[in-house]
Formats: sequence, structure tokens, C-alpha cells
Amino acid sequence: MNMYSTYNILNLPLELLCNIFATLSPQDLYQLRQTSRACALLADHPTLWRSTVLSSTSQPWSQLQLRRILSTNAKHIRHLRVYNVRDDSLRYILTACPNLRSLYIHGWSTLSSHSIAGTSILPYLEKITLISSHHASLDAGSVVGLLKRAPGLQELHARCPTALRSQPFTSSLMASKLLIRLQSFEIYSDTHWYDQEKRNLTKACARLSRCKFLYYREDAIKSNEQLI
Amino acid sequence: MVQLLSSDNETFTVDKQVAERSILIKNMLEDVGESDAPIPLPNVTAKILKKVIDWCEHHRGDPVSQQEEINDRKRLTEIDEWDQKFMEVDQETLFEIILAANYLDIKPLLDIGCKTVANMIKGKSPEEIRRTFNIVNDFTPEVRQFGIISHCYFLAMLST
Repeated sequence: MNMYSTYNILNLPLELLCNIFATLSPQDLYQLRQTSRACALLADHPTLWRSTVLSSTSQPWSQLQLRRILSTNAKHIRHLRVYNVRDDSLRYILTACPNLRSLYIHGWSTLSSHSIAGTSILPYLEKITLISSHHASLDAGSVVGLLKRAPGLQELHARCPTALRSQPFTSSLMASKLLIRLQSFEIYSDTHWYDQEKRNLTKACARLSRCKFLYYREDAIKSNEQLI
Repeated sequence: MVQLLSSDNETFTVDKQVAERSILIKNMLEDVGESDAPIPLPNVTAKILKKVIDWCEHHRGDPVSQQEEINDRKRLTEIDEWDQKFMEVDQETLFEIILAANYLDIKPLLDIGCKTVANMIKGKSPEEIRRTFNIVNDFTPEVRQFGIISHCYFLAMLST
């Protein structure tokens, strides 16, 4: 007799179950978790949550949905890609996932500085990418605030129109006296980066090695990429 | 040609190229060298071995070991049509194919098996998942009422 012949999914070896469950979305794991206690233990296996993708849905992810799906395992998440967020859902992500290393956000209808404001520190966060055709009303104060929250941040890429203005941003960076580890910085705003501001930026961010400034004026979009 | 012996003592004769889809058998053949003695596979029944050989026959021409390089996410979702048909079996057989693919070290077959099971879970409610896999709901009414978030707390209480 074959030793595995009592057929039940839960009799499969753990490594195979992990293999199977690794292909499930967070939503599916959330459903699976409710079926039985053994399934709950499996669905909450930390490796399944390390890289999490919240794919796009017709509605933006609400805070309530995320709380329901992620709350038990938020601490395991290191890399998160989320499509279509709202202010409150992003705010929730940043407070609930203390071990986040990289965060990729694609799409929102409104994104304000409120979403990244908060007091919890994100000690491991190294990389943030924002992509959207919609405007993100992030200003100098909120971006500096984010750099305070995530002291290890190495890459900040905002590939969306923002409200960041070069002059106030660089002067508040200088004033903040933060140790900034930023190595790569991409920003898209309606402000021009003059040499003075670029100089201040490199002064405030000693490790900066790659910058990309995109700026839009009502009719024309000009790009200005610079390697320092 | 290579002879394979199932756990229930049935002998199968297959092409060396087909048998070598299994890394386990490939390594065994390399270790043992040319021999007429059948290779015993004590973890695989004749019924499952036949299925596995069918799969290996169909995929004999596939490039080996390229699978690992393909982007994970894509690898995770798509199953080609022949394989889908191949996997239309009862659950017991499905799980035994997965176990055999794992034991024989046939990674692409293992992947297809795992994907097939995952697809049986996707988009289902807890009750539908239970029904699909004969899983018994062993949550106590308290846990059900409080929802799943507190179940860890509950398990912790049990163990103290």
C-alpha cells in the first residue's frame, strides 16, 4: 500500500502545500484561512506573505478590506505591490507592515499627504515606487516626513505628478539635519530644479547617485535626467 | 530502453529519453550505468506510474531545466491544454501524481499538479473550499463568531 493513499489535501507534505499555496492571492489565502484550523496555520505561513501582491480590482482597496485580509500577516510582508489604493488604505499599509522593505503602488484616484503621514517608524523600508496618471498631492513637508519615518530609504521614485516644489523641499531637507540614505530619486512636479536646489539636494543626501527630475508645465513636459 | 518496477510489482519498459524526464531515474542510471535490471520505484503504484509515463512521453521533446528561468508569476498561472486534460482526474489520483512527481523529481509535472490544486481553491468561499477538499470545519463556535482574526489567540489559549 502506498503510504499516502488516504487522500486529503492536508496529507500532502508541507513543502508541497507551500508550493501550492504560494500561487494563491492574498484574497484566496484569506478564504482558505477560514476553512479549518490546519488550513489557517498553513495560510498564515510567513513565507506565503513575504512578497504580497494586491492586484487591481474595479474598486480601490479600502482600508477595511486590507485590514481583513492582511491584519494577521501584515508583520510578515516585506515586499508589497498594490494596485489602486486610497488615502486611508495606504495609511493603513504603512502602519500595519513594520517589516516592509519595498513598496510599489500603482494607481489611485486621490492620494494626499495624509496617506503617508504617521508616526510609526518603517526601519527596513528601502524602496518606494509610485506610479499613476493621477496627481499625488505630496508636498515638501510630507516627503520630508516620509524620509523621517523611513530612515533607511534608498530609492524614492514618484512617476506621477506631485505637488513637490524644489525650493521648499531642499531647504526643509537641509533644515531637518536628517541622515538621508537616498541613492536614487525620481520626482515629477511642476517645479523647475535650478542648480542651487540640485546642489542643496546633493548636500542633504550624501549618497545620492541617481536623480531624475521631470517637470510639467501646462502645455509641455520637459525632462531633465542627471547623473551626479 | 529502461525498465521501471512499480510498488505493486508491475514492470514498464520505456525509452531512456522518456525515463530521464525524472531526475531521480536519470541520476540512478548515471550511477548504476548500463544494466538490464528494472529500477524499483517503491513509492509509486502501477496506476500512477502509467500516468506519469504518459506525461513524460508527451513531453519528451520539451527542453529540460529551462522552466526555472521563466518568470515566476507567469509560471504560476498558466497550464497548457493537454496538461489540463491530463489533470482531469479524481483528487486521490491528482494527489498521488503530485507525490510521484515530487519523489521522481519531475519539476514541470509537479508544477502543473500544484497549479491544478491551486486553481481548485482560487475564487472560492471557505465553504466551497471545504466541500471541494473534504475539509472539516473544526473551529469552535466562539472562533467562528469572533472571526478568524482571533483564532491565533484562541490557539494560544489552548496551549497554555
